[in-house]
Amino acid sequence: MKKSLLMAIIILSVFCLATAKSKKASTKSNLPQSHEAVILESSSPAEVMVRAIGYSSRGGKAAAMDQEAENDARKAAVWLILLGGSDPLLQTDAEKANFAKIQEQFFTAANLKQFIVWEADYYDSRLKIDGGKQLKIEKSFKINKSLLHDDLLKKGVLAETAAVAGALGQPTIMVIPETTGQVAPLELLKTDPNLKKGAEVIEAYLTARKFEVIVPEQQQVLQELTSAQYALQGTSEDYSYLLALSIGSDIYISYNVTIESRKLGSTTVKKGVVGCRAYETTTGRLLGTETGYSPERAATDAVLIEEAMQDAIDKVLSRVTAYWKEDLRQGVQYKIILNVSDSFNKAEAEDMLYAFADQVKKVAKTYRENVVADYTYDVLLWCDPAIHQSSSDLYRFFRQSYKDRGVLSRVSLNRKLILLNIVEE
Amino acid sequence: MKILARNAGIFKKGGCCLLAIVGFWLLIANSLFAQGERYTRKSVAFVDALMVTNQNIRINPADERYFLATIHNGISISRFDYNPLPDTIRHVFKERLRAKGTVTESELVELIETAIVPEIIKILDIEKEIRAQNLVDETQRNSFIVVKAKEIGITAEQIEQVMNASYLYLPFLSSYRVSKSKDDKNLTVTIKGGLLWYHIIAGDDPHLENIVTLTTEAAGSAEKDKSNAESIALREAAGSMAMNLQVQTREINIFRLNTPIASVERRTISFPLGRAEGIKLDDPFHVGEYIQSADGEVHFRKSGFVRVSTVSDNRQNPRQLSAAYAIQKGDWVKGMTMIEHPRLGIDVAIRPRWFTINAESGFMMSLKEGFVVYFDDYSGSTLGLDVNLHWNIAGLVKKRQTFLVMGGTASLIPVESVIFDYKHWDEDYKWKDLIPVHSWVAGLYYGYVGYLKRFYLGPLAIHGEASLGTQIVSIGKIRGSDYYEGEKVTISNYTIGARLNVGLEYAVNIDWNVGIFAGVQAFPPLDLWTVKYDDEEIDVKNVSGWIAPKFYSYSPSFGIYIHYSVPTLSVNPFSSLQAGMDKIK
Repeated sequence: MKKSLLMAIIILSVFCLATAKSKKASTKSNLPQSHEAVILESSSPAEVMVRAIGYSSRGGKAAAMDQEAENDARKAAVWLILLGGSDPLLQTDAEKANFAKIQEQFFTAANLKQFIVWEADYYDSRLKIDGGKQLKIEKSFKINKSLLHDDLLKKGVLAETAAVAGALGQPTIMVIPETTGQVAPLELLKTDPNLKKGAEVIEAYLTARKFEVIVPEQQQVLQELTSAQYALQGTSEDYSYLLALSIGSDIYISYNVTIESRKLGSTTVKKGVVGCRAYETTTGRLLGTETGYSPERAATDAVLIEEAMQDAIDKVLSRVTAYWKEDLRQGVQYKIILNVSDSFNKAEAEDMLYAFADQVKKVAKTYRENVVADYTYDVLLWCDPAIHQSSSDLYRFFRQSYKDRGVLSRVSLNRKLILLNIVEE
Repeated sequence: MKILARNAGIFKKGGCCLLAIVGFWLLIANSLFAQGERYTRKSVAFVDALMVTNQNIRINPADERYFLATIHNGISISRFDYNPLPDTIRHVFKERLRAKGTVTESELVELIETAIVPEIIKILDIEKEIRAQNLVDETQRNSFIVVKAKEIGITAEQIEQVMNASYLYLPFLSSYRVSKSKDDKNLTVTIKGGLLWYHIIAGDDPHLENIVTLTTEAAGSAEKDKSNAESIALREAAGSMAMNLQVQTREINIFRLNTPIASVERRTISFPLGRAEGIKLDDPFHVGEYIQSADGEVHFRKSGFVRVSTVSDNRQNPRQLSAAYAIQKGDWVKGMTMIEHPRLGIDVAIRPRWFTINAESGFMMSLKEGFVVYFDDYSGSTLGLDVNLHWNIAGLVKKRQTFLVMGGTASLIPVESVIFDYKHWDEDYKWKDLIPVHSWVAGLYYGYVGYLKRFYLGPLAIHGEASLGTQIVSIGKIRGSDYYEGEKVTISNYTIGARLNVGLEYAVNIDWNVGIFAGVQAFPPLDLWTVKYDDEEIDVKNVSGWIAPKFYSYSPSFGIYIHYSVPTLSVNPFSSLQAGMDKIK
C-alpha cells in the first residue's frame, strides 16, 4: 500500500514538473532576445533605416528558426528606436515604466509590422552559431519612427508629455549657422548655399516634428538685438546666442558644414561633414551636439549635406525633446533682467532688487538667480503656464505687484526674455 | 634557361608546376570553408601573349594566335566584365615584347605592369561608375540617397571595390608532345599548360600580384595524312584546354558564384542569379549554410544540391530570379547559401550491359584481299561495357536534363572462326600464314550517338535514351612475323541499328548517379566488311553470296548505370560546340 502511494506521489510529481515546464514554454516572452541593432541613416524626418541582428531559439526546423530569428531582428530594430542607443523615444523613467506594462503585447509580430515600412529581401548575413544549434541573422529595416511615436502617445505611454506639450506647444527653435564672428550668420545664410541647405534640412526636420521654427530675418531682429546687446553687455559676445535670445526662441541650433573631397581616378568624390549643436537659449547651455557624415560619393554638395545633416539632426532633436520634456516639468522658462537706475544709491537699489526678487519667488514655480549686482538682477524663472501664459502676463504681474520705490517699466519683451528697468517716478 | 621569342612572344617561366597545382587546390578547398557573401562582378583583362616554359616547344605563329584566341574565348564568361585593350596598346606591347627578345616571367610581368596595367586602370576609371552600380545593395536602393535625392547611390567605397576587383590572366604552355602510332592513322598532340592569374593592384603604384596558377592537360588528334595534321590536332587540344581552364577559373574562390536563396517552395528554390552571371540550365549548386563552431571558426556546411531549372534574364532587371530544382534536399529555408559547383557539363557514364547476339555460320571471301573467313553458329547472351559521354545540351534546346550521347560498347562473342589467309603477294606474307588461324571468340563493338532525357523526382531520376549506331564484329591475325613486327590484320563485319533504353537512377551526390536500365536493341544483319591493315582500313566485297555469315541482335538488354560529372577532360569532343554555346545569350 505504502509502495503504491509512494509510486503515485512520484508519478504525480513528474507530471507536475512536466506540465510546469510545458506551461513555461507556452508563455514564452515576446521581448526581443537580441538588443543588437544600429541606425544606418535617418532617411527622412519620419523614417530611420536600421540594421538589426536576430536570434532563433536553440534547435528546431530551419523554417521555424528562420522565422524566429527574423522576428527577433524586427523586435531588435524597433527596440533600438524605443529604448536603445543614445537618443531613444522613451527617455524618462515614467515613459519606460508605462511601456513596461504593455511591452509584451507591443512586441508581438502583428503589432510591429505596422511600424516597419520596408525590410530587405535578403539577410545582410546569416550564420548558425553554437555549433549550428542557433541561427543568427542580420537584416535591414526601415522603421517609421513617427508612427511609433504617435502609437505610443495613443497608448498613453507618452501621455504625460503629450498633455504638457499640448498646453505649451513644442519648443520654439531658431536655426543659425556657426560663425567665427567676422561675418554675421544671417549674412552667411544669404551668401553660402551650403549653409543655406543645412538650415533647410534642419528646418525640414523641425517642421516635420512639429517644432515651431523661427527663421531669423535681418530686419526683424536688428532692433531687438540692439536691446539684448545692451542688456547683456559684458556677459556674452556670442552672436547666435544674442540673436536667439532677442527673437525669443526656447532653443537655438547652430551648425557648420564642411565638404571634403578627393580624387578617385578621374572622379572627385566628396564627403559631407556637419556639426550640429543645440543650446538652451536663456542660458546658452549646450543641450546636445552631434557630428554627421555622409558616405563618400560623387554627388552634389546639397545631397551630401542633406545626407550628413540627417545623420546628425535626428539625434540632436532627440536630445532637444528630452530636454524640453524635463524643462516642462518645471513650467515655462523666462529670463528676466532687471536694471535699476543709477539715480538711486546702492542701498536703495539693493532694497528695490530684493523687493523685486520677492515677487519672483511668488510667481515662479522655481527660479535660479544668475547675477545679483548693485544695480542689476538676472534671473531665470519657471512659471505655471496655466496662470501666466506669456511674457506680457508676467510683466503685468510684476508691474502690478511691485510696490517699492521707482517705477517698473519694460525695455523689451519677447517670448523668453523680459528686460525691465526701474526708474525714478 | 633562355629561349627565343617569336611573334606575340614566347617566354620562359621559372615557376614550379607542382606548387602551382597544390596552390590551386588549396584555393579551391578554401572556397568551401570561407564565409562568402554574394558574388560581385570582377573585371578581367588579358594580353595576347603566350608564355612557353619549355624551350623545345615550337608553335607556328598562326597556331599560336589560334591557341590564344581559343583560350580567350573559353575564359570569356558572363560573370566577368572585360577590359578590352585598344589595338594600339596591344600593338605597342607586342612591339616592346619583340624588342626585348627572350624574357623571364618577372620581366614579362614588369612589361605588363608598365605597358598594360596603366591602360587597364584607365579603362576601369572610365567604367567604374557603371560597374559600381551592380554593387549598390537593396538597403542602399531604399536609402535617402536613392529614394529622395534620386542619385544612383554609389559610394566611393564601391568605386574602390570596382577598381580593386580587376584581374589579368596570362596563358602558358609547359609541355607539347606529338604521338604518331603506326597502328593509328591519327597523330595526337598532347599539351600541358594553363593560366597565370594576376590581381591588378590599383593605386599610386599599380602592379600585379599572382593569385593562382591553373594547370591542365589536353589532347587532340588528326589524320596523319593531312598536311596540317599537327596544326589541327593542336587546335582541337586547345579547345579542350580552354574548356578545362574555364571550369578551373570558375572554381577559384573569388570567381565562384554564390548567392543567398530567395525562396523555397517545395523542391524549387529561387535565387538572384541569371544570364548576367552566365548560369545555364542544369548547372549544379551546393546548398548549405555557414556554421560557426564553438572555437569561432566559420565553415560552410552543405545540406544538398540543386540544378538550375529556369534561367532569368537579370541583365536589365537585377531583381529577376532564376529557379533551381532540388535533387538532394535538406532542411532549407530562404537566406541559406548556394555555391556553384563548376563542371564541364559532360557526364562520363559506364554501363555494364547484358544482351543477346546471334551469329549464323557462313563464309566471307575476298578475292582481292586474299581472305576466306569462316564463322560458326552462335546464339546466346553476352556482356558488354558501354562507355558514354553525355553532353548536356539543355542550354541549346531549352529543356532541362537533355543530353547528346556519344559512346561505344565493347564486348566479346563466343563464336568460333577460322581465317584462311592466302594473300601471298603481300610483302609481309610468310609461309606460316598458310596455317589457318582458329579463334573461339570475336570482338563485338558498338558505336552510337543518341539523345537522352532525364526526369528528376528528388534524388531519383528516370531517363529515356534513343540512339543510332553501328555494330562491329571483328576478328584478327598477325600477318608475317610476330605481334610486334608483323602486320596486324583485322576483318570486321558492320551493321547499323538502334537502341532504346529506359533507366532508373539515384543521385548519390552532386557528381555521381547510379542506377539500372533496361532496353532493346535492333541490329539487323548486313553483309558489309572491311579489312584493316595496321592503321589503314579498306572496304571489301564479300563474294560468297548466300553463304555469307550473318551477325545480328534483336535483343532486350539490361544493365547497371553509373555516371560521373567530370570537371575536366583531356579530350573533349564537344569543346568547340560548348564554346559556341557559351556565347548564346
